[in-house]
Amino acid sequence: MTDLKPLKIAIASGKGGTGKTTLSTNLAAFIAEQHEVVLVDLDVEEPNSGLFFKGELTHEEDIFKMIPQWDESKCTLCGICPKLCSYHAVIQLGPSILVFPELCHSCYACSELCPVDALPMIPKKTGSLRDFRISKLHFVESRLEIGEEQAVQLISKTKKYVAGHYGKVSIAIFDSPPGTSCPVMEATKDADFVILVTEPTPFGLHDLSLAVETMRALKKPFGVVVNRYGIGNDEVIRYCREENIPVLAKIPNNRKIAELYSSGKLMYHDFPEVKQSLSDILGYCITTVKGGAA
Amino acid sequence: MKEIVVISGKGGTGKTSITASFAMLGGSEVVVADCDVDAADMHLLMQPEFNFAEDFYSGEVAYVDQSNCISCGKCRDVCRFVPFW
Repeated sequence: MTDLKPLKIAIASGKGGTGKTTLSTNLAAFIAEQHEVVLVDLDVEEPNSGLFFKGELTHEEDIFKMIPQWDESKCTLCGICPKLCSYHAVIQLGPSILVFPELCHSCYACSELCPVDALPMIPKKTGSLRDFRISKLHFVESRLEIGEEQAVQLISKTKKYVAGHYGKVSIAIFDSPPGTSCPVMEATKDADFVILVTEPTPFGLHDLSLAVETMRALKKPFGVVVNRYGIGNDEVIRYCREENIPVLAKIPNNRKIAELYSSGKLMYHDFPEVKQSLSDILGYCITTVKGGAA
Repeated sequence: MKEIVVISGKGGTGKTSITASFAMLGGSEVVVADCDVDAADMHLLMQPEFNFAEDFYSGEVAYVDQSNCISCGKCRDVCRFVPFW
């Protein structure tokens, strides 16, 4: 596996609670039995992967974004900045300019177009990153500050940290946020392969089809893992067949698996068929990416 | 009007199920809003008749007027967001 370029696998889903973290943590731990691997929790609003591992904290840092800071002594109250901020992060209230840091997208427009330089950009803490080591597994997670709206920048900076520190690790797994909007796009756009986790229910199917549209828009190779297989109906499987989407694995609906998950434990040790599925998933990702690159 | 909001930190915990069930208890006086705009699922449970639909617009996208563009590259330099292509 060392002859491969780093393989970046993102694990995503339209619907929340389908099993992204379960798959991410089990897949990473399975790979780490033999190879160095980095698992990155990009679900920065509610990172949960860390609950499955007890490791040694090797690095911790605050993550910042740039926001404008009003310099009252220079400001002429010309009214340009509140007019041009598309995000309503800068408003004028009487003789004052107010900045709402949570709404700011760090586009710099107000700062650069202010005729008297009264809005210099300053860093603001938007979250924190932690890096753990558990034997051959590196685990990186970021947490967004409460009330902060801009997950995208934190996700982007976390990916940069991983690229800078673990560029030589052969496999990186990115546990992505749910949904189909900007944070998911940011978490998956650099991946070599995306795994969409779903459940065989009308809700799983509906949100899977949205996630599929998103991945097709990003032109990403992707496959589906059906979790809790056995509940609901066959519509998800039928949909994947009709759309020519590979179903990489079916993880059975099983009370013992649910119990292990509920107590924060990995499941694949106790389930040979799940371990086999993880091996199949990894093999498929490697073959697809290698085949595509050749 | 009293407003009740159903939220959760974690996904897939049952917001939609609880909200839809709760709404059914209120009879005809209840208005239900599915604000999970990323992946709205409530309609699958409630199966409502749609009596109104409209598109939603927000923000603005720059349009390049090719007849006036001199390819100076300034727009690319000032854009802080890395585009998808």
